[in-house]
Amino acid sequence: MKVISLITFQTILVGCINLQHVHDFSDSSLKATQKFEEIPYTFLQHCIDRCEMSAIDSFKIYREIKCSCDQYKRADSVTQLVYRALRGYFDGLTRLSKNQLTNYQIDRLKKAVQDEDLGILQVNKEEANAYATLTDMMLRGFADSYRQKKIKAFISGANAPVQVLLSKLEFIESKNLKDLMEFKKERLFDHYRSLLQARLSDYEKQEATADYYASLQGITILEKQCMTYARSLRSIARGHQQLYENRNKISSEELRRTLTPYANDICDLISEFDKLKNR
Amino acid sequence: MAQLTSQQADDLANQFLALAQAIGDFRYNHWNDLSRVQHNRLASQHWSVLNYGEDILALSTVLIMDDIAPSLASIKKISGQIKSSLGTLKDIQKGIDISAAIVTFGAAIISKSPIAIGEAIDDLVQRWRTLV
Repeated sequence: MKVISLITFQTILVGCINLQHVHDFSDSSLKATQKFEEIPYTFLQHCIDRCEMSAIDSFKIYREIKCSCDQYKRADSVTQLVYRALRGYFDGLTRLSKNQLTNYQIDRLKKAVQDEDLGILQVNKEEANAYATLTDMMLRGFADSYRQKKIKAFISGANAPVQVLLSKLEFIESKNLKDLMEFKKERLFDHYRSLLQARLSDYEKQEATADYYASLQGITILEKQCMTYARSLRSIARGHQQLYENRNKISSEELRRTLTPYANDICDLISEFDKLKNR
Repeated sequence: MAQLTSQQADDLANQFLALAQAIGDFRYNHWNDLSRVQHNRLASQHWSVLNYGEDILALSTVLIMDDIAPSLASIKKISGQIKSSLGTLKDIQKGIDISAAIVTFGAAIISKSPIAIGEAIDDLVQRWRTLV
């Protein structure tokens, strides 16, 4: 009897485990990471644009434009590998930290033991409800305890590689991809600057100037998208570091307070990214 | 020769950009002083330097692969373990459903109703299949 009471008391205590803040942070991180798929620019796209720009600049028309873009395809493959690894991790962490995961449905079992055909084995409604409540509490208690232990271990093992992968993806987006756009801007600038030296009417010059600024605006928005995405990766990295440093008090109020600003910051950056996308 | 890091490659690419800008500005500032041949040569050099810089940026990204191989392997392993834990937690629900199906099956036997027994067996088999 004492053992049952002890187990029940323990499960009630463990049953209080709330991983909502871990779930919220991880869910925001997953959504922010997935914004990668909404950036309409890749290394390969840059290579193709470069080929086309070169053909336009020299008034060359081809039936099919041929570009040598192998290195650019390889760069995209590496970026995709990093992205998919991070998405896979945050997807798993989001699902594992969801409180509803351990909301088990025991109604069928409760109904089955109340079945009249069970004869002497039949359990009355009050007893069935009592057993169901106890079963539910114990199941949640053990499952939540298992979940907490596992999440702690996963965060502990994943922090170092997650930090490396986040920093590399941030580097690719904020440096390599953004710098490629600087090259694109220079090519555009040179093309239009040379074009305006040619004999054109004032109207044609105005048209060319307007085209230049429209193209420049498009590149600037893309640059901002890459930079916003990179900032969200930095926030995710800082939040995950906090999660790692506080992994031994994972369901504490203190960790909830620590993680909330990171989750909010990530959500703000998602919204900023979406605004840029819709411009 | 020592291997170029992705950061060094990125820095190098930016130097190529600055160099290309200088060539472009020189051509523009001396527009009327240059012959057609000189114009074409400078324009071609300007875009060639831009090409080199861009190719270095793509290379810089490819070089990252050398730094991330162990991290990718670790995350892949942990993601697999998370999936396995999710499976364990979901199996608990399946276990509960099977218990309910067994009780219903027992009740069907006690009731000696062939139809109820048949339905209970079907239900039990279906639920068992979701577990294994």
